[in-house]
Amino acid sequence: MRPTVAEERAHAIADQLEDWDLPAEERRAFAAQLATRWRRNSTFVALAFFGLTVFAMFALVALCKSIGVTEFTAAAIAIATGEYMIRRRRMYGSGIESALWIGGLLAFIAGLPSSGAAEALLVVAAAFGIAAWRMQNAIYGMIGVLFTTTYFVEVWRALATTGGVAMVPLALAVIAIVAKRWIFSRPWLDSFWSYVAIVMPLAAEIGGRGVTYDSNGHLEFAITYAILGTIALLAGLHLRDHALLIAAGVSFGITAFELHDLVDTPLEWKLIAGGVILLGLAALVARRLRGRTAGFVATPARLTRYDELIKLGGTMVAGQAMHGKASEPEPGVTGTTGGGDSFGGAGATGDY
Amino acid sequence: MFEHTAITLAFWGALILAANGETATIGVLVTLTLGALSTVYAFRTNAEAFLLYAVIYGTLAVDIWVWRAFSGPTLSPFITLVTAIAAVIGLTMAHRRFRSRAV
Repeated sequence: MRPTVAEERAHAIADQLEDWDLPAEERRAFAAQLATRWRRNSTFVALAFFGLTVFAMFALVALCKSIGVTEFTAAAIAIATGEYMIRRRRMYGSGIESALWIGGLLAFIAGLPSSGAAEALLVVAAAFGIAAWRMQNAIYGMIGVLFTTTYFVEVWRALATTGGVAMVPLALAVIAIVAKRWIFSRPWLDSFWSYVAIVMPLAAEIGGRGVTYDSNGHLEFAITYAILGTIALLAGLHLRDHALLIAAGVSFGITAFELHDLVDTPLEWKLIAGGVILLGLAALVARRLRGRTAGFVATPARLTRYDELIKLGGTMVAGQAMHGKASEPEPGVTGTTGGGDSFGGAGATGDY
Repeated sequence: MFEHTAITLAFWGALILAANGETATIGVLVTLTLGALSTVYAFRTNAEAFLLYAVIYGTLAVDIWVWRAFSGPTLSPFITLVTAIAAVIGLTMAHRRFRSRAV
């Protein structure tokens, strides 16, 4: 019991409505058309509910411990309440049920006997992975991946080599870049791979530095990150995906950091050279994108007042044409009638 | 933005008072008063964020006071749990009211 692909895509479009310059009446009409059977909140409200629920979870765990019924009871109560809210109250994306799920799983782990072994990191990673799958939450998934990489940093700490420690996060970054092309059926999976592609190069660098206590640059690592950045850049241009371009920027930034002490010139000159290179790149990109109205564009210009309407209409029509009625709403509930397979434009990708 | 910054600073000041042993009670009262004012402002200006501030900071202040006032291992978590659940339910109801006003 969770949103279908069509419903999730409708949510993804609905989340963009606030950013669109539309009259209030049109906005309400779109919102009604994109409404699904699920109760969701905006990001800010969901964060408030999430924080309050986490607060309640701490109190619940403390209460259960104080009356001698262990953390497992708190975990069972939290997960059961979360499932009740999803299945009966149709809450998905309200902030409450996701806090109950992750809080319940972490309470369960807190109740396990502690041995201090590094494998505990994998248990926490599994908890975040399960919560990510159940709640379709890309951030939980990314935190799970971070715990997994931290586990390998801990286990291979004895190697004391940056290459050994950075191997897993770098491999995960490459997997994420490839997965952006092939595993994109749901918006949350697409977001998950985006987060992994952006964060993993940083995790590799920080993990490697942390293990070796080495602040010197290394040419071989600079080349590695430059190759990774180039792969991300080419994939981002090919897929018209902003996240991969950000991932490329992160990798090139780390490359610059790795090269910082390989050139024996004063720091000021390096900074000046870096600034000149960035300015040159910006001018080149602006020149190449000048006048473009499709694909990547440099100017957020509007062709008509109804650009977003045209995109949304195209999405709806394409969705209906390709899949017919993508999801049947429950009787008596205003549901999603359709859903698109592709949307976006002006640099945004809609292929999931 | 000015209103958000001002109310956040005011709430933080009140919370610091609430966390201080000598000024705990006055701090809680100031926080709750600010919460009431923030709630009124939220409904008058249709700005839901101020309601969120009121509920979150109000709950925090009450729970800080509870943990100071009751030293037992069971009562403090119990009251904290009740206040947090009450805050979630109250916020849910207020959120629905805001959404119905927006339509």
